[in-house]
Amino acid sequence: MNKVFVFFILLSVFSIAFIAPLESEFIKPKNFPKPKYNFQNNPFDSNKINIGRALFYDPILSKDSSISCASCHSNYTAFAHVDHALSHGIADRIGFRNAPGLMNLAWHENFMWDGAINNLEMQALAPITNHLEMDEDLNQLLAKLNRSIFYKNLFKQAYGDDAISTDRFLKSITQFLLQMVSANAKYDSVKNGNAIFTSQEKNGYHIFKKNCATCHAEPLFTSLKFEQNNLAIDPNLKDMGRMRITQNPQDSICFKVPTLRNIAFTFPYMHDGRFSKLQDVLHHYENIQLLTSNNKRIKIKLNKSEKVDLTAFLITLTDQKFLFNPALAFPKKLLLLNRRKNE
Amino acid sequence: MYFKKLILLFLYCVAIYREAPAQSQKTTFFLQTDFDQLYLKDSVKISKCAIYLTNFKFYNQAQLVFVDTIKAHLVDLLDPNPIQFNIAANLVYNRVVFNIGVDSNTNVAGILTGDLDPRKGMYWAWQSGYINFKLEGILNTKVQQPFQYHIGGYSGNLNAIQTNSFEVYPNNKYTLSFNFMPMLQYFFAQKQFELMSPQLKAVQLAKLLSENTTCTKVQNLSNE
Ligand code: HEC
Ligand code: HEC
Repeated sequence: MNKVFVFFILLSVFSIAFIAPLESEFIKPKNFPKPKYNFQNNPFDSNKINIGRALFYDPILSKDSSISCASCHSNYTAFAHVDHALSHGIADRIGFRNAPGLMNLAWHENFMWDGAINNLEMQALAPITNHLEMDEDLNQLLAKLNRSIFYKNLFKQAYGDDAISTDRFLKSITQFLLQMVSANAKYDSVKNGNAIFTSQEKNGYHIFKKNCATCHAEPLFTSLKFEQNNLAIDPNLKDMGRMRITQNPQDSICFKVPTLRNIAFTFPYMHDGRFSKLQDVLHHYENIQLLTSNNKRIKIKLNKSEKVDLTAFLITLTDQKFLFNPALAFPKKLLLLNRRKNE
Repeated sequence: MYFKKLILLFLYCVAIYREAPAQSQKTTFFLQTDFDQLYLKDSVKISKCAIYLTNFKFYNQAQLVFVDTIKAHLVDLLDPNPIQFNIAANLVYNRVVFNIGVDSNTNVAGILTGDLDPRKGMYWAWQSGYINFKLEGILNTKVQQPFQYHIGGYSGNLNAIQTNSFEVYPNNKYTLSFNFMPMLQYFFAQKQFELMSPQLKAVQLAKLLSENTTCTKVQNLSNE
C-alpha cells in the first residue's frame, strides 16, 4: 500500500508541474514588491478574466441597468471618475466620495479611501448594494445573471457548469481588477535602465523623494497606509476617513494614501475631489507641516520652479500602455456582438 | 490530459485510503432562544433572530480531539435545525468549545461559500465583515417601535467574537440556549432601537449574550 501511495504522490507532483503553467500567470513587474493578493485561492484563467471584464462594463449590475462599474471607473483615465468631484450613481444620486483610479490592486490589503473593504474579492459588493451607487440586491442580481443565457454560457466555459454563485461572480470580477497593473511609465523605464530622465525630471524626482516619498512611496507611489495631509474638513460631508472604520480618534481624517501613478489623468483630486488641477494640489503642499502616522514630522516648502520640476517628474508616472491597453477596454466583441447573438 | 487522469486516480486512491471506519457516534446540539416569555408576552415580537456558531472543537481535558470540518453554522434561531457531529465511536471527550460570531481570519479571507456566502444576509457590504448575530422585531408600546440590532466587528478592540465552552460527553444530546433578554432589556432601557455597525457597545453586548448562553443535557431522550 505504502509504495503505491508514494508512487502516486511523486507522479502527481510531476504532473502538476506540467499542468500548472498552462494557465495565465500573474506577472510581477521587475521593480515591484511581492503582491498581497492570495492568487492560490483564485488562480488566473483567461475565461474567468473575460467574465470579469464583461461584468465590469455591463450595467446589468445596477438595479435599473443604467450604470456599470465603468460609469465611475473609466479605462481612459486610469479607471478614475473624471470631472466628477463626487461620484454619480443610478438616478443621478450623488455619492460622498471621489472615485479613485484603479491600478495595482494586487498590492493593496485595504480598499476605499477609509479601508472599509478588507479584501479585493469583496469590493464589488459595496457599490452594487449601495443605495447611492448601483442600489441592487445581491440575490436579485445573481437571479438576473442566472437568467442570462449569455452569462450562463460564459460561466460554463470558465467553471465547468453554468451555476452563477456569489463566489464565482466575485472571483471573476476580481480576476479582471487584478489585470489593472500599471508599471510601464517612463519612471519604470528609467528604473529598469531603458530610458533617462531629463534634467528637469531628475530634479523633480529629488524634490519628490525629499518631500513626498514617505507617504507616496515608490514603486507603487503609495505606502498604502492611512495618513492625513492637513486638508480642512468639508463641513457638509464631515468625512472622518479611517476613523469611521476603526473608531479610533488617532485615525481621524486619515485617508488611504492614493497612488500618484497616472496622476495627470485621475483628476479631480483628494477623497472629495476638491482640487481639479495638479497645480491646486501643489499649491496645497507648497508650505506645509505634516505629521505621519508613525510620528515623523515632514516640513514641505516648495518654490515656483520646484513646483514646475516636481510636476515634470509626476508626469513621468503616466503609463500610456496601461491607459490604452485594449485588454482592459470595453469588450466590444463580447458584449455587443456575442451577447446579441445569444439573448 | 493523461496527467490529469493520473491525478484523479491518485485522489481516488487517497480517498479510499482515508475512508474512516464506518462506526461513529453522534453528539447533537439542539438550539433555542430563551426569552423570558412573561416579559415578552405581547409586548415584543421577534421577526429575525440569527446567529453564527463557528469553530466547534472537542477536547478531552486539554487535548484537542475533534475539529468540525464545517467552519461556520448560520442558525436561524426562530426555526433552528439541530447541529450534529459525527465523531468516531471510540473518541473520548469532555468539553466543547465554539465561537459566537466569525473570527478575524475568516473575515478577511475574501469570498467564502456555504453559510458564509454573503447572500445569506449576514454580511456588511459597505464595510467588509460578518454580522455575528442579528435580532430584529417590534416593540409594542403606545407606538409600534421597530428595533434592529446587528452585532459584529472583527478587528482590534472592535472584535465582537465570543468563545463559549461547555462540559459535554460522547453520545449525548444537548440544548444550547441563547438568552437575548438581558440584551433587549439593556437596549430598551436606553431607548436605543438600532445598532448596525461595529463599535465598542456591540462588543459589550456580544459578551452579554455569551454570558447568557447555557448548555443543558436533554433529558428523557434515548440515544439512537
Ligand atoms: C457610482 C460610482 C461607482 C460605481 C458604479 C462603482 N464605483 Fe468603485 N468606487 C467609487 C468610489 C466613490 C470609490 C471610493 C469610495 C470610498 O472610498 O468610500 C470607489 C472605490 C473602488 C475601489 C477601491 C480602490 C482603492 O484603491 O481602494 C475599487 C477596487 C472599485 N471601486 C471597484 C469597483 C467595481 C469593481 C465596481 C463595479 C462592481 C465599481 N467600483 C463601481 C465609485 C463607484
Ligand atoms: C503625510 C503623508 C503625505 C505626504 C508627505 C504627501 N502626501 Fe500627498 N496625499 C496624502 C494623503 C493622505 C492624500 C489623500 C488625502 C485625502 O484625500 O484626504 C494625498 C493626496 C495627494 C494627491 C491626490 C491624489 C488623488 O488621486 O486624489 C496628490 C496629487 C498628492 N497627494 C501629491 C503629493 C505630493 C506631490 C507630495 C509632496 C510634495 C505629497 N503628496 C506629500 C499624504 C501625503
